[in-house]
Amino acid sequence: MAHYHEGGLDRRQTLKCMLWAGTGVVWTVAGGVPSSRLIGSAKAAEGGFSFVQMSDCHIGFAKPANPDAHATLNVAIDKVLAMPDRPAFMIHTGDISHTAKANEFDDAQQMIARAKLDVHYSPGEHDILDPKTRDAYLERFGKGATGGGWYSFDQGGVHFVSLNNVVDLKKNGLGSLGAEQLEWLEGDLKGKSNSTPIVVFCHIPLWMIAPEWGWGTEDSAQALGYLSRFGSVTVLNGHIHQLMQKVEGNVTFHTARSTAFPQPAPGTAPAPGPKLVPAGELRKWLGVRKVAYSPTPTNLAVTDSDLS
Amino acid sequence: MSVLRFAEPLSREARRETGRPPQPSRERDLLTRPRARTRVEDPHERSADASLRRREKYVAAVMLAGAISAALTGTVWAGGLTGDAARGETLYQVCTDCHSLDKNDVGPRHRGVFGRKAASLPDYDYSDALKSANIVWNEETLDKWLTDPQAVAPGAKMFFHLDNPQDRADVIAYLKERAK
Repeated sequence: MAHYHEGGLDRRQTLKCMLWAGTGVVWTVAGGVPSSRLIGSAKAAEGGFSFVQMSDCHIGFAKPANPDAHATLNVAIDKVLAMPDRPAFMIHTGDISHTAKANEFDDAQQMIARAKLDVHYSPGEHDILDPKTRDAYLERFGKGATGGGWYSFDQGGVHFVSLNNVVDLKKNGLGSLGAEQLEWLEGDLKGKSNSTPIVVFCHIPLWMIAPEWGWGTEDSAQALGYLSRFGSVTVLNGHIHQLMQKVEGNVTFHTARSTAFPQPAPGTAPAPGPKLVPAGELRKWLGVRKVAYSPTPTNLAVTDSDLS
Repeated sequence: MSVLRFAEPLSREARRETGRPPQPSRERDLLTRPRARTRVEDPHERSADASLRRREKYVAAVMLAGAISAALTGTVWAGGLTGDAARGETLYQVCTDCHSLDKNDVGPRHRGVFGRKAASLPDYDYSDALKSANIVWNEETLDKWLTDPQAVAPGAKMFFHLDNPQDRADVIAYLKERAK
Protein backbone atom coordinates (compact mmCIF):
# COMPACT_ATOMS: atom_id res chain seq x y z
CA MET A 1 0.00 0.00 0.00
CA ALA A 2 1.16 3.49 -0.72
CA HIS A 3 1.97 5.74 2.19
CA TYR A 4 3.50 8.57 0.24
CA HIS A 5 3.64 11.93 1.93
CA GLU A 6 6.19 13.92 -0.01
CA GLY A 7 4.04 14.14 -3.10
CA GLY A 8 0.94 15.16 -1.20
CA LEU A 9 -0.58 11.74 -0.59
CA ASP A 10 -1.30 10.71 2.95
CA ARG A 11 -2.70 7.69 4.70
CA ARG A 12 -6.16 8.49 3.47
CA GLN A 13 -4.85 8.51 -0.06
CA THR A 14 -4.03 4.88 0.14
CA LEU A 15 -4.86 2.67 -2.79
CA LYS A 16 -7.67 0.39 -1.81
CA CYS A 17 -8.59 -2.38 -4.14
CA MET A 18 -11.16 -4.99 -3.38
CA LEU A 19 -12.11 -7.75 -5.75
CA TRP A 20 -15.35 -9.60 -5.38
CA ALA A 21 -15.46 -13.01 -6.92
CA GLY A 22 -18.31 -13.25 -9.32
CA THR A 23 -18.66 -9.60 -10.12
CA GLY A 24 -17.49 -7.12 -12.76
CA VAL A 25 -14.88 -4.49 -11.94
CA VAL A 26 -15.46 -0.82 -11.61
CA TRP A 27 -12.49 1.44 -11.12
CA THR A 28 -13.11 4.63 -9.21
CA VAL A 29 -10.23 7.06 -9.16
CA ALA A 30 -10.18 9.61 -6.39
CA GLY A 31 -7.15 11.69 -5.56
CA GLY A 32 -4.99 9.08 -7.16
CA VAL A 33 -6.00 6.16 -5.04
CA PRO A 34 -8.05 3.29 -6.40
CA SER A 35 -10.58 1.34 -4.39
CA SER A 36 -13.34 -0.97 -5.42
CA ARG A 37 -17.01 -1.70 -5.00
CA LEU A 38 -19.56 -4.06 -6.43
CA ILE A 39 -20.83 -2.89 -9.74
CA GLY A 40 -24.24 -2.17 -8.30
CA SER A 41 -22.78 0.11 -5.68
CA ALA A 42 -19.67 1.44 -7.37
CA LYS A 43 -19.96 5.15 -7.48
CA ALA A 44 -17.44 7.80 -8.25
CA ALA A 45 -17.22 10.35 -5.49
CA GLU A 46 -18.02 13.91 -6.34
CA GLY A 47 -15.53 15.32 -8.80
CA GLY A 48 -14.26 11.90 -9.69
CA PHE A 49 -14.98 9.53 -12.49
CA SER A 50 -15.04 5.86 -13.25
CA PHE A 51 -13.97 3.77 -16.18
CA VAL A 52 -14.50 0.23 -17.37
CA GLN A 53 -11.90 -2.40 -18.14
CA MET A 54 -12.89 -4.95 -20.77
CA SER A 55 -10.51 -7.74 -21.75
CA ASP A 56 -9.98 -10.84 -23.84
CA CYS A 57 -13.19 -10.80 -25.86
CA HIS A 58 -11.70 -13.20 -28.45
CA ILE A 59 -14.33 -12.38 -31.03
CA GLY A 60 -14.17 -15.20 -33.56
CA PHE A 61 -13.65 -17.88 -30.91
CA ALA A 62 -16.34 -20.58 -31.14
CA LYS A 63 -15.24 -23.77 -29.45
CA PRO A 64 -16.43 -25.93 -26.55
CA ALA A 65 -15.08 -23.53 -23.90
CA ASN A 66 -17.47 -20.92 -25.33
CA PRO A 67 -19.35 -21.61 -28.56
CA ASP A 68 -20.52 -18.00 -28.76
CA ALA A 69 -18.05 -15.33 -27.69
CA HIS A 70 -20.25 -12.74 -29.39
CA ALA A 71 -23.08 -13.47 -26.99
CA THR A 72 -20.97 -13.17 -23.88
CA LEU A 73 -19.45 -9.89 -25.05
CA ASN A 74 -22.95 -8.59 -25.55
CA VAL A 75 -23.82 -9.60 -22.00
CA ALA A 76 -20.73 -7.74 -20.80
CA ILE A 77 -21.83 -4.63 -22.66
CA ASP A 78 -25.29 -4.97 -21.11
CA LYS A 79 -23.56 -4.98 -17.71
CA VAL A 80 -21.76 -1.78 -18.59
CA LEU A 81 -24.97 -0.15 -19.75
CA ALA A 82 -26.62 -1.15 -16.49
CA MET A 83 -23.96 0.51 -14.34
CA PRO A 84 -25.67 3.10 -12.17
CA ASP A 85 -22.93 5.70 -12.58
CA ARG A 86 -22.01 6.07 -16.17
CA PRO A 87 -18.30 5.37 -16.73
CA ALA A 88 -16.30 8.09 -18.45
CA PHE A 89 -14.59 5.71 -20.86
CA MET A 90 -13.47 2.17 -21.41
CA ILE A 91 -10.06 0.57 -21.63
CA HIS A 92 -9.63 -2.72 -23.45
CA THR A 93 -6.63 -4.80 -22.43
CA GLY A 94 -6.32 -6.84 -25.57
CA ASP A 95 -7.35 -9.97 -27.45
CA ILE A 96 -10.22 -8.06 -28.91
CA SER A 97 -10.27 -10.60 -31.72
CA HIS A 98 -9.33 -14.23 -31.77
CA THR A 99 -7.40 -14.45 -35.03
CA ALA A 100 -6.83 -10.78 -35.92
CA LYS A 101 -9.22 -10.87 -38.86
CA ALA A 102 -10.79 -7.63 -40.01
CA ASN A 103 -14.32 -8.99 -39.64
CA GLU A 104 -13.59 -10.03 -36.05
CA PHE A 105 -12.44 -6.52 -35.20
CA ASP A 106 -15.46 -5.10 -37.03
CA ASP A 107 -17.83 -7.27 -35.00
CA ALA A 108 -16.07 -6.47 -31.72
CA GLN A 109 -16.09 -2.74 -32.33
CA GLN A 110 -19.71 -2.81 -33.37
CA MET A 111 -20.71 -4.59 -30.17
CA ILE A 112 -18.50 -2.46 -27.95
CA ALA A 113 -19.93 0.68 -29.58
CA ARG A 114 -23.24 -0.13 -27.89
CA ALA A 115 -21.69 1.09 -24.64
CA LYS A 116 -21.33 4.55 -26.23
CA LEU A 117 -17.98 5.11 -24.54
CA ASP A 118 -14.60 6.20 -25.81
CA VAL A 119 -12.43 3.10 -25.85
CA HIS A 120 -8.67 3.01 -25.32
CA TYR A 121 -7.20 -0.22 -26.63
CA SER A 122 -4.05 -2.18 -25.90
CA PRO A 123 -3.28 -5.08 -28.23
CA GLY A 124 -3.20 -8.74 -27.26
CA GLU A 125 -1.15 -11.42 -28.99
CA HIS A 126 -4.32 -12.62 -30.71
CA ASP A 127 -4.69 -9.15 -32.25
CA ILE A 128 -1.17 -9.01 -33.62
CA LEU A 129 0.00 -12.32 -35.04
CA ASP A 130 2.64 -11.16 -37.51
CA PRO A 131 3.88 -7.99 -39.22
CA LYS A 132 0.83 -7.89 -41.49
CA THR A 133 -1.70 -8.00 -38.65
CA ARG A 134 0.46 -5.62 -36.61
CA ASP A 135 0.21 -3.03 -39.35
CA ALA A 136 -3.53 -3.62 -39.67
CA TYR A 137 -3.97 -3.23 -35.91
CA LEU A 138 -2.03 0.02 -35.82
CA GLU A 139 -3.97 1.31 -38.80
CA ARG A 140 -7.24 0.60 -36.99
CA PHE A 141 -6.41 1.37 -33.35
CA GLY A 142 -3.08 3.17 -33.37
CA LYS A 143 -4.08 6.70 -34.29
CA GLY A 144 -2.25 9.06 -31.97
CA ALA A 145 -0.04 6.27 -30.71
CA THR A 146 3.72 6.24 -30.85
CA GLY A 147 6.04 3.68 -32.44
CA GLY A 148 4.54 0.26 -31.96
CA GLY A 149 1.20 1.49 -30.59
CA TRP A 150 1.96 2.81 -27.10
CA TYR A 151 0.40 6.04 -25.89
CA SER A 152 -0.73 7.97 -22.84
CA PHE A 153 -3.50 10.37 -21.93
CA ASP A 154 -4.72 12.29 -18.92
CA GLN A 155 -8.16 12.22 -17.41
CA GLY A 156 -9.29 14.00 -14.25
CA GLY A 157 -5.78 14.32 -12.87
CA VAL A 158 -4.87 10.70 -13.54
CA HIS A 159 -2.19 9.78 -16.08
CA PHE A 160 -3.05 6.71 -18.15
CA VAL A 161 -0.39 4.78 -20.05
CA SER A 162 -1.18 2.08 -22.61
CA LEU A 163 1.68 -0.26 -23.45
CA ASN A 164 2.17 -2.93 -26.08
CA ASN A 165 3.97 -6.02 -24.80
CA VAL A 166 2.80 -8.59 -27.36
CA VAL A 167 4.92 -7.97 -30.44
CA ASP A 168 8.24 -9.53 -29.53
CA LEU A 169 7.34 -12.52 -27.38
CA LYS A 170 10.10 -14.18 -25.43
CA LYS A 171 10.64 -17.63 -23.91
CA ASN A 172 7.40 -19.51 -23.34
CA GLY A 173 5.53 -16.53 -24.78
CA LEU A 174 6.54 -13.98 -22.16
CA GLY A 175 5.70 -10.44 -23.14
CA SER A 176 8.32 -7.78 -23.74
CA LEU A 177 8.29 -4.02 -24.05
CA GLY A 178 11.57 -3.43 -25.87
CA ALA A 179 14.10 -0.65 -25.63
CA GLU A 180 12.21 1.84 -27.80
CA GLN A 181 9.03 1.61 -25.76
CA LEU A 182 10.89 1.73 -22.45
CA GLU A 183 12.70 4.85 -23.57
CA TRP A 184 9.38 6.40 -24.55
CA LEU A 185 7.88 5.47 -21.17
CA GLU A 186 10.74 7.06 -19.26
CA GLY A 187 10.27 10.27 -21.24
CA ASP A 188 6.50 10.18 -20.92
CA LEU A 189 6.67 10.02 -17.13
CA LYS A 190 9.43 12.60 -16.77
CA GLY A 191 7.22 15.65 -16.45
CA LYS A 192 4.81 14.09 -13.98
CA SER A 193 4.92 14.89 -10.27
CA ASN A 194 5.30 12.06 -7.81
CA SER A 195 1.76 12.61 -6.62
CA THR A 196 0.21 12.07 -10.05
CA PRO A 197 -1.86 8.92 -9.95
CA ILE A 198 -0.69 6.57 -12.69
CA VAL A 199 -2.71 3.83 -14.34
CA VAL A 200 -0.76 1.55 -16.69
CA PHE A 201 -2.61 -0.95 -18.83
CA CYS A 202 -1.51 -3.57 -21.33
CA HIS A 203 -2.33 -7.15 -22.25
CA ILE A 204 0.24 -9.51 -20.73
CA PRO A 205 0.74 -9.04 -16.98
CA LEU A 206 3.65 -6.78 -16.03
CA TRP A 207 4.40 -9.01 -13.05
CA MET A 208 5.71 -12.55 -13.23
CA ILE A 209 2.68 -14.67 -12.47
CA ALA A 210 3.79 -17.89 -14.18
CA PRO A 211 6.85 -17.49 -16.42
CA GLU A 212 6.66 -21.13 -17.48
CA TRP A 213 3.31 -20.30 -19.07
CA GLY A 214 4.51 -16.98 -20.46
CA TRP A 215 2.41 -15.09 -17.92
CA GLY A 216 4.70 -12.17 -17.31
CA THR A 217 6.74 -9.54 -19.13
CA GLU A 218 10.45 -10.14 -19.48
CA ASP A 219 11.63 -6.54 -19.20
CA SER A 220 8.90 -5.18 -16.93
CA ALA A 221 11.36 -4.49 -14.10
CA GLN A 222 12.75 -1.53 -16.03
CA ALA A 223 9.28 -0.10 -16.58
CA LEU A 224 8.39 -0.57 -12.93
CA GLY A 225 11.62 1.18 -12.03
CA TYR A 226 10.41 4.29 -13.86
CA LEU A 227 7.11 4.04 -11.99
CA SER A 228 8.55 3.47 -8.52
CA ARG A 229 8.72 7.16 -7.54
CA PHE A 230 4.98 7.65 -7.93
CA GLY A 231 2.75 7.44 -4.89
CA SER A 232 -0.03 5.55 -6.61
CA VAL A 233 0.44 3.22 -9.54
CA THR A 234 -2.25 0.84 -10.71
CA VAL A 235 -1.41 -1.76 -13.36
CA LEU A 236 -4.28 -3.40 -15.23
CA ASN A 237 -3.72 -6.44 -17.42
CA GLY A 238 -5.61 -9.22 -19.18
CA HIS A 239 -4.29 -12.34 -20.92
CA ILE A 240 -4.74 -14.85 -18.11
CA HIS A 241 -8.56 -14.71 -18.05
CA GLN A 242 -8.87 -14.68 -14.28
CA LEU A 243 -8.66 -12.30 -11.35
CA MET A 244 -5.36 -11.91 -9.60
CA GLN A 245 -4.04 -9.09 -7.52
CA LYS A 246 -0.66 -8.18 -6.10
CA VAL A 247 0.67 -5.15 -4.24
CA GLU A 248 4.34 -4.29 -4.51
CA GLY A 249 5.38 -1.02 -2.89
CA ASN A 250 3.19 1.68 -4.35
CA VAL A 251 2.16 -0.46 -7.29
CA THR A 252 -0.99 -2.52 -7.33
CA PHE A 253 -1.40 -5.11 -10.10
CA HIS A 254 -4.72 -6.48 -11.25
CA THR A 255 -5.51 -9.02 -13.91
CA ALA A 256 -8.98 -9.18 -15.40
CA ARG A 257 -11.45 -11.80 -16.42
CA SER A 258 -12.16 -12.47 -20.06
CA THR A 259 -15.56 -12.00 -21.62
CA ALA A 260 -15.01 -15.19 -23.65
CA PHE A 261 -13.60 -18.13 -21.67
CA PRO A 262 -11.71 -18.82 -18.44
CA GLN A 263 -8.21 -20.25 -18.16
CA PRO A 264 -6.82 -22.51 -15.43
CA ALA A 265 -4.93 -21.16 -12.45
CA PRO A 266 -1.18 -21.70 -12.76
CA GLY A 267 -0.14 -25.16 -11.68
CA THR A 268 -3.60 -26.65 -11.97
CA ALA A 269 -3.36 -27.78 -15.60
CA PRO A 270 -0.68 -29.08 -17.95
CA ALA A 271 -0.67 -25.80 -19.86
CA PRO A 272 -2.61 -22.58 -20.21
CA GLY A 273 -5.58 -22.59 -22.55
CA PRO A 274 -9.36 -22.44 -22.66
CA LYS A 275 -10.86 -24.10 -19.61
CA LEU A 276 -14.04 -26.11 -19.85
CA VAL A 277 -16.48 -25.35 -17.07
CA PRO A 278 -19.82 -27.03 -16.36
CA ALA A 279 -22.63 -26.06 -18.67
CA GLY A 280 -24.54 -23.13 -17.30
CA GLU A 281 -21.61 -21.87 -15.23
CA LEU A 282 -19.59 -20.15 -17.92
CA ARG A 283 -20.82 -16.65 -17.22
CA LYS A 284 -19.75 -16.91 -13.60
CA TRP A 285 -16.17 -17.23 -14.87
CA LEU A 286 -16.34 -14.23 -17.16
CA GLY A 287 -16.57 -10.58 -16.28
CA VAL A 288 -15.95 -6.89 -16.68
CA ARG A 289 -14.29 -4.41 -14.34
CA LYS A 290 -15.21 -0.92 -13.31
CA VAL A 291 -12.72 1.41 -11.71
CA ALA A 292 -13.83 4.57 -9.95
CA TYR A 293 -11.83 7.61 -8.91
CA SER A 294 -12.68 10.58 -6.77
CA PRO A 295 -10.47 13.34 -5.37
CA THR A 296 -12.12 13.18 -1.95
CA PRO A 297 -11.82 10.84 -0.30
CA THR A 298 -8.81 9.96 -2.34
CA ASN A 299 -9.70 6.50 -3.43
CA LEU A 300 -9.55 4.39 -6.56
CA ALA A 301 -12.18 1.72 -6.40
CA VAL A 302 -12.10 -1.53 -8.34
CA THR A 303 -15.18 -3.62 -8.83
CA ASP A 304 -15.27 -6.90 -10.72
CA SER A 305 -18.58 -8.25 -11.94
CA ASP A 306 -19.27 -11.62 -13.53
CA LEU A 307 -21.65 -12.03 -16.42
CA SER A 308 -24.21 -14.27 -14.74
CA MET B 1 16.93 -26.42 -39.75
CA SER B 2 19.41 -29.03 -38.78
CA VAL B 3 18.45 -32.64 -38.56
CA LEU B 4 16.64 -33.39 -35.36
CA ARG B 5 17.88 -36.07 -33.05
CA PHE B 6 15.59 -37.96 -30.77
CA ALA B 7 15.90 -40.45 -27.97
CA GLU B 8 15.08 -44.01 -28.92
CA PRO B 9 11.77 -45.34 -27.62
CA LEU B 10 11.80 -47.14 -24.32
CA SER B 11 11.18 -50.85 -24.38
CA ARG B 12 7.85 -51.83 -22.83
CA GLU B 13 9.70 -53.25 -19.82
CA ALA B 14 11.75 -50.11 -19.33
CA ARG B 15 8.63 -47.97 -19.53
CA ARG B 16 6.76 -50.12 -17.07
CA GLU B 17 9.50 -50.56 -14.52
CA THR B 18 11.85 -47.63 -14.62
CA GLY B 19 10.59 -44.79 -16.73
CA ARG B 20 14.25 -44.20 -17.58
CA PRO B 21 15.78 -43.85 -21.01
CA PRO B 22 15.92 -47.08 -22.98
CA GLN B 23 18.62 -49.64 -22.44
CA PRO B 24 19.74 -51.78 -25.34
CA SER B 25 17.55 -54.87 -25.24
CA ARG B 26 18.76 -58.37 -25.97
CA GLU B 27 16.51 -58.47 -29.00
CA ARG B 28 17.95 -55.23 -30.29
CA ASP B 29 21.45 -56.54 -29.70
CA LEU B 30 20.65 -59.61 -31.74
CA LEU B 31 19.34 -57.52 -34.56
CA THR B 32 22.39 -55.33 -34.68
CA ARG B 33 25.02 -57.96 -34.08
CA PRO B 34 27.71 -57.97 -36.76
CA ARG B 35 27.17 -60.48 -39.50
CA ALA B 36 30.85 -61.52 -39.61
CA ARG B 37 30.14 -64.59 -37.54
CA THR B 38 28.09 -66.07 -40.35
CA ARG B 39 31.33 -67.34 -41.87
CA VAL B 40 31.29 -70.83 -40.37
CA GLU B 41 32.91 -74.15 -41.06
CA ASP B 42 31.71 -76.34 -38.27
CA PRO B 43 28.25 -77.85 -38.86
CA HIS B 44 27.33 -77.10 -35.26
CA GLU B 45 28.32 -73.51 -35.77
CA ARG B 46 26.27 -73.42 -39.00
CA SER B 47 23.34 -74.73 -37.05
CA ALA B 48 23.85 -72.08 -34.40
CA ASP B 49 23.94 -69.40 -37.07
CA ALA B 50 20.75 -70.69 -38.65
CA SER B 51 19.14 -70.63 -35.25
CA LEU B 52 20.30 -67.07 -34.79
CA ARG B 53 18.84 -66.03 -38.13
CA ARG B 54 15.56 -67.74 -37.28
CA ARG B 55 15.54 -65.84 -34.04
CA GLU B 56 16.30 -62.59 -35.83
CA LYS B 57 13.36 -63.22 -38.13
CA TYR B 58 11.17 -64.07 -35.16
CA VAL B 59 12.13 -60.92 -33.30
CA ALA B 60 11.56 -58.82 -36.41
CA ALA B 61 8.14 -60.42 -36.84
CA VAL B 62 7.26 -59.76 -33.20
CA MET B 63 8.32 -56.13 -33.54
CA LEU B 64 6.31 -55.70 -36.72
CA ALA B 65 3.29 -57.30 -35.06
CA GLY B 66 3.75 -55.01 -32.10
CA ALA B 67 3.87 -51.96 -34.33
CA ILE B 68 0.73 -53.06 -36.18
CA SER B 69 -0.98 -53.84 -32.90
CA ALA B 70 -0.01 -50.46 -31.50
CA ALA B 71 -1.46 -48.77 -34.56
CA LEU B 72 -4.67 -50.73 -34.34
CA THR B 73 -5.19 -50.37 -30.60
CA GLY B 74 -4.67 -46.66 -30.46
CA THR B 75 -1.23 -46.45 -28.95
CA VAL B 76 1.87 -44.78 -30.25
CA TRP B 77 5.34 -44.29 -28.98
CA ALA B 78 6.50 -40.74 -28.49
CA GLY B 79 9.48 -39.84 -26.40
CA GLY B 80 9.46 -43.49 -25.39
CA LEU B 81 5.96 -43.43 -23.96
CA THR B 82 2.76 -45.04 -25.05
CA GLY B 83 0.12 -42.44 -25.77
CA ASP B 84 -3.47 -42.62 -24.65
CA ALA B 85 -5.56 -41.05 -27.40
CA ALA B 86 -8.63 -40.67 -25.18
CA ARG B 87 -6.68 -38.74 -22.58
CA GLY B 88 -5.03 -36.83 -25.40
CA GLU B 89 -8.43 -35.73 -26.64
CA THR B 90 -9.16 -34.23 -23.22
CA LEU B 91 -5.75 -32.58 -23.07
CA TYR B 92 -6.24 -31.18 -26.56
CA GLN B 93 -8.69 -28.71 -25.02
CA VAL B 94 -5.76 -26.47 -24.03
CA CYS B 95 -4.59 -26.46 -27.65
CA THR B 96 -7.89 -24.93 -28.75
CA ASP B 97 -6.66 -21.47 -27.82
CA CYS B 98 -4.94 -21.54 -31.19
CA HIS B 99 -5.96 -24.70 -33.04
CA SER B 100 -8.96 -26.51 -34.42
CA LEU B 101 -9.16 -29.81 -36.23
CA ASP B 102 -10.90 -28.53 -39.34
CA LYS B 103 -10.34 -24.79 -39.48
CA ASN B 104 -7.23 -22.67 -39.61
CA ASP B 105 -7.08 -20.54 -36.50
CA VAL B 106 -4.14 -18.73 -34.94
CA GLY B 107 -2.40 -21.96 -35.87
CA PRO B 108 -3.10 -24.32 -38.78
CA ARG B 109 -5.86 -26.95 -38.70
CA HIS B 110 -4.83 -30.25 -37.22
CA ARG B 111 -6.86 -32.89 -39.00
CA GLY B 112 -4.39 -35.03 -40.88
CA VAL B 113 -1.38 -33.37 -39.31
CA PHE B 114 0.24 -36.70 -38.42
CA GLY B 115 2.39 -37.70 -41.35
CA ARG B 116 2.05 -34.30 -42.98
CA LYS B 117 5.03 -32.19 -43.95
CA ALA B 118 5.31 -29.13 -41.73
CA ALA B 119 4.18 -25.84 -43.25
CA SER B 120 2.48 -27.62 -46.14
CA LEU B 121 -1.14 -26.42 -45.93
CA PRO B 122 -1.60 -24.04 -48.84
CA ASP B 123 -4.19 -21.89 -47.08
CA TYR B 124 -2.29 -21.13 -43.86
CA ASP B 125 0.32 -18.40 -43.48
CA TYR B 126 3.22 -20.17 -41.79
CA SER B 127 6.26 -18.50 -40.31
CA ASP B 128 9.41 -18.52 -42.40
CA ALA B 129 11.03 -20.47 -39.57
CA LEU B 130 8.67 -23.40 -39.93
CA LYS B 131 8.67 -23.23 -43.71
CA SER B 132 12.40 -23.85 -43.71
CA ALA B 133 12.41 -26.43 -40.94
CA ASN B 134 11.94 -29.42 -43.27
CA ILE B 135 10.01 -31.56 -40.82
CA VAL B 136 7.48 -34.34 -41.27
CA TRP B 137 5.17 -34.63 -38.28
CA ASN B 138 5.52 -38.01 -36.58
CA GLU B 139 5.82 -39.15 -32.98
CA GLU B 140 9.38 -37.95 -32.63
CA THR B 141 9.07 -34.61 -34.38
CA LEU B 142 5.81 -33.78 -32.65
CA ASP B 143 7.32 -34.70 -29.29
CA LYS B 144 10.21 -32.31 -29.90
CA TRP B 145 7.87 -29.62 -31.16
CA LEU B 146 5.53 -29.87 -28.19
CA THR B 147 8.49 -29.82 -25.82
CA ASP B 148 9.80 -26.51 -27.14
CA PRO B 149 8.69 -25.28 -30.56
CA GLN B 150 11.15 -22.40 -30.49
CA ALA B 151 14.03 -24.86 -30.10
CA VAL B 152 12.86 -26.76 -33.18
CA ALA B 153 12.16 -23.70 -35.34
CA PRO B 154 13.39 -20.47 -33.73
CA GLY B 155 11.05 -17.71 -34.81
CA ALA B 156 8.03 -19.98 -35.21
CA LYS B 157 4.68 -18.58 -34.17
CA MET B 158 4.08 -21.15 -31.46
CA PHE B 159 5.32 -20.82 -27.87
CA PHE B 160 2.90 -23.25 -26.26
CA HIS B 161 4.55 -26.30 -24.80
CA LEU B 162 3.72 -29.34 -22.73
CA ASP B 163 6.31 -30.15 -20.10
CA ASN B 164 5.06 -33.59 -19.17
CA PRO B 165 6.25 -36.32 -21.61
CA GLN B 166 3.13 -38.41 -21.01
CA ASP B 167 0.91 -35.43 -21.83
CA ARG B 168 2.80 -35.01 -25.09
CA ALA B 169 2.52 -38.70 -25.93
CA ASP B 170 -1.22 -38.61 -25.27
CA VAL B 171 -1.82 -35.54 -27.43
CA ILE B 172 0.26 -37.06 -30.21
CA ALA B 173 -1.75 -40.28 -29.97
CA TYR B 174 -4.91 -38.23 -30.27
CA LEU B 175 -3.63 -36.38 -33.33
CA LYS B 176 -2.49 -39.60 -34.94
CA GLU B 177 -5.54 -41.70 -34.30
CA ARG B 178 -8.53 -39.46 -33.87
CA ALA B 179 -7.62 -36.46 -35.97
CA LYS B 180 -7.08 -38.36 -39.21
